[in-house]
Amino acid sequence: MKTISKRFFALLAVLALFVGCLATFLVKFAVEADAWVAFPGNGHLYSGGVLKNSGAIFDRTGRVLKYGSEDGGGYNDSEEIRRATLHVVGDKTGAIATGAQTIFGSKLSNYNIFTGVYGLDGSTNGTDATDLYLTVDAEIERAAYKALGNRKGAVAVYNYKTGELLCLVSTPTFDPENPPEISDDDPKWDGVYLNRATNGLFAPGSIFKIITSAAALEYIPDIEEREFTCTGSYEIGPDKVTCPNKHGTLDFKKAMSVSCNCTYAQIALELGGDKLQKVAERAGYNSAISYGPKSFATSKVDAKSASGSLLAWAGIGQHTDLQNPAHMAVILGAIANGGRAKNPYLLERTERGGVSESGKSSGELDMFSSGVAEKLQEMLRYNVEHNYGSGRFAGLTVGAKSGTAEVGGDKENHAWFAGYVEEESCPVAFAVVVENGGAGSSVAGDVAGKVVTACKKALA
Amino acid sequence: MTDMILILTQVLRVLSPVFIGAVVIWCAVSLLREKKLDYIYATLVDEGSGICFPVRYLECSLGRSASCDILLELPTVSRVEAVLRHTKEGFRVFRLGKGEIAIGGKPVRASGLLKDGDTLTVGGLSFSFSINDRVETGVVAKRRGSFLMLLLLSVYELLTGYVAIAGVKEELVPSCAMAVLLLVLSQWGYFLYAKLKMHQIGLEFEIGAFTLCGIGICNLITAGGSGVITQMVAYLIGLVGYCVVLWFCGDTDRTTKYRYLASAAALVLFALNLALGSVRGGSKNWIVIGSFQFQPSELVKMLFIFAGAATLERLLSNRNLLLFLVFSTACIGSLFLMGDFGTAVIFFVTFMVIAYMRSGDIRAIALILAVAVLGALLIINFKPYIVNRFETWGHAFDFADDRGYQQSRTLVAVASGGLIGTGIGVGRLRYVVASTTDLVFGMVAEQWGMIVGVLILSFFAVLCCYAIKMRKGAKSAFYAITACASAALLLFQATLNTFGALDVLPFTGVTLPFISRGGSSMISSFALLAFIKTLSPSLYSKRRRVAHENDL
Repeated sequence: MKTISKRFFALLAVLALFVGCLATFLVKFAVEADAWVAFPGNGHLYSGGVLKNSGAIFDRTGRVLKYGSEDGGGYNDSEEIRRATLHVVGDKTGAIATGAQTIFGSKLSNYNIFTGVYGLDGSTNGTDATDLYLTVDAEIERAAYKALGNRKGAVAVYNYKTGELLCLVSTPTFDPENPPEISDDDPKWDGVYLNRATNGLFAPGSIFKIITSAAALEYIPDIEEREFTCTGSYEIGPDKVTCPNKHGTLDFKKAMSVSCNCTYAQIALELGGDKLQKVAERAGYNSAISYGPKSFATSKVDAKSASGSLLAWAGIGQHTDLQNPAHMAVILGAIANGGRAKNPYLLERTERGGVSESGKSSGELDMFSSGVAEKLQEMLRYNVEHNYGSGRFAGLTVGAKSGTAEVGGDKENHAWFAGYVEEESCPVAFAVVVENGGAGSSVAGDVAGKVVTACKKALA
Repeated sequence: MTDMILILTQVLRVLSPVFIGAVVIWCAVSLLREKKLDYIYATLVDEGSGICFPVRYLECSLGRSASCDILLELPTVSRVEAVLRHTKEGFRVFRLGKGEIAIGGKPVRASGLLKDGDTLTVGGLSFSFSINDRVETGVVAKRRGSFLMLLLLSVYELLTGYVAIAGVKEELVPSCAMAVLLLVLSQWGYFLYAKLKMHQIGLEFEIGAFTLCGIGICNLITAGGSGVITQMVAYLIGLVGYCVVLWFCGDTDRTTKYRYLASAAALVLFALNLALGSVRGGSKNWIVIGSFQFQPSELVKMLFIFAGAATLERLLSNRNLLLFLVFSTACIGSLFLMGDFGTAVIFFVTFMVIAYMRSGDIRAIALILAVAVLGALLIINFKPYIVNRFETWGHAFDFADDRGYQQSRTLVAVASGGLIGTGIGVGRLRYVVASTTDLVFGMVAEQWGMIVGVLILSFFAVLCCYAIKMRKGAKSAFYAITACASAALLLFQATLNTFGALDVLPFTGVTLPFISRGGSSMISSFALLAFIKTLSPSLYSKRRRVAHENDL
């Protein structure tokens, strides 16, 4: 009996598997259950993808963006505002998965881990509906939407002193009160349910030079005194990197302002893939930056495994680089704020029956060292003074960078314009991308100018 | 009327964890406090030196090896000379070694009966054998509470049944109500039978199983109320089967005689399944006769364990695992051919446990595991259906509209329930395919809450802990193997079912014992539970009535 009885300990293996699975699950349950609950297919909270019993959604000044939920509820009176805020608020069918009425599902119900979604009175949200106050500003959204016109693109605006996301506009868009017939393969409606500001990924082109510059300032000690020569073309083995013009001799500041590809290719090669990757990842590339229950799409850089001409292209925003617009706005915000970005957030507060609960998340993202941030601010302001012109920014001091990203094939380049405003009363950072829009500074810069003007007015 | 239902639903949300917690914790504490009776059944006294060798187990090995129960450190004795086992006729000596054994002077060839007062000659030494007749006076943990717990459980079942039936279509109300009443009555019927006829002391196993079955039936009612009568019938058959298995296992000789029959029956059932099987939900694991359908693999589980077990003398005399290996490959192979991969894995794990119990050879087990994993990887490569399952594993929400549909809805349901549940009858997982079978844990955790869900799972863990604790109480190596394998199978199956649905393990189509809808599953779960119960010292004890007539 002794020999056999010892072998019962084989059961410990099965017990270990059980305990391991249980522990794993309980941890997931504790951490993720509120996200699971907000799944649009949850019949307890949603009907047809839209939250039942939800309250109203307001912008930061209290303008109503959406109200009620009987028969899907209603939206703001102005069609322009409806179209502009569609992706942030959500449509009536829940097709826009990142709409506030979908992602904040757990806040709009009585959910807590103890009682689940039903309060002890048996209902999912008590007798009072929960209202959501978002950080976006309807007027800034309207201006961004109008500036984009009938082009596809995104505008993200971020308050770098507080972390509020002031504007997340994505086009193409539509009027949720009168949704059109949208067929899957119609190019006009390509990605219409996607919020390009929070979830889009585009080749960054020259705006990535901001990151390359940060790496150069961090790791190349004499970069500001160096002299570069641009002959219009820089050869790396059998490949070459070209500039649209021959820039002649320039220093680092000038190279950024004229966006010299040849100089930046050299800098990228001198830095090496590892250092470039490290700086990029500190600035949030390859990681998820959350703005509430969701995160921005992950911007990607893979410089580590690139060398030669591929590394050079990565350093000037091509190769496999991908940029999320909202993330770019946060990067500019970090630069404006001494290297540290306040955590971005979309939900200002919830209110139910007179009780309000803040949605803000405290904390910061440490993206650049303060010395590097200060130098970058100088360079970005120099760009505006000497290249883009400060006229379009309503008299505000602005630092910015444009980008024209090649997309391959016979498609037009993406136009990018990203920057920040240096002004106590208007501490905003912005990123604009016009898909296949053409030249960065003219096309996207024009949109940015209108958006900044609207910001000044809205935050005054 | 409906107001009362609403209030009761909310009250039960808070009370369920308390009720179920009380029952499960009582089961656990009570079972784990049980001590193996440190009883000396007989003694062998060396006539030369006067040294006394106590016979502490109903099956003992005798020999020179340190692993023997009766250790005779003499060069004249083989490493394992013999096995002494208690049978219906009394103690029997089975000769295993090369040395000579004699009883009362007469040499023993294969085996011989040892009666009280006989002289046993082993390795040149003579021992006087005497059976211990004294009444058990050892300390037995007082086992109180069965009556109270069953009462508590009955009240709970009636309350939850009432609430669940409130949500059922009118025409199904009578059958559901009857099912609940039958449930409560049958449990008390068993209680009377066990206490009065069988004089059992503790009913923790049964009450634990009743709790789970009760939740299962109530859950089935909340899913619409159809099929409840079939489930009750299966439950009753299971309960009867439980008693039959317990009786059957009372005699070691009887059980060992039927081993080969069991193996043959298992193979025949699988052969029939392969030939006549119907596909239900992706696997061909069902036999349908008219309106009656069952899963042969569920019944084979019991036969498989039975076929794999062996008494100590058989184990020690024939260390050959080959036959069992071939038999197991045939079973597991059939399951693969039928497409029921979850059950195939369960059989494999059970096979590993039995193989280890029989051989103690970790290296051989590891080798078999390595070969099996390799084989599985090869097969996975060729079957896209399985590759899909593995792709989805851990990413249910990424595939929420197709392959991850069931798992994602289970997670959503479980999250919506929180710790105390949404309330009985308020669940929505019922609308998803296989909710009462593969996803049943999700349904229960959604409506009863995660606390109750974890309590249910811990019952299976308690069974394994109990088996480990009472390992020395097995009447024979045969029962040790059946008990250990059954405990392993039940816990592993519960783990695979639950955590597959919750996307912690790959999703497979296996049931949750006692709770899932499925007659064959219910019946086989009770049979396996009976195997574990055979470890209990309060069973089969001749003197129990005398010693414990004051306890109830």
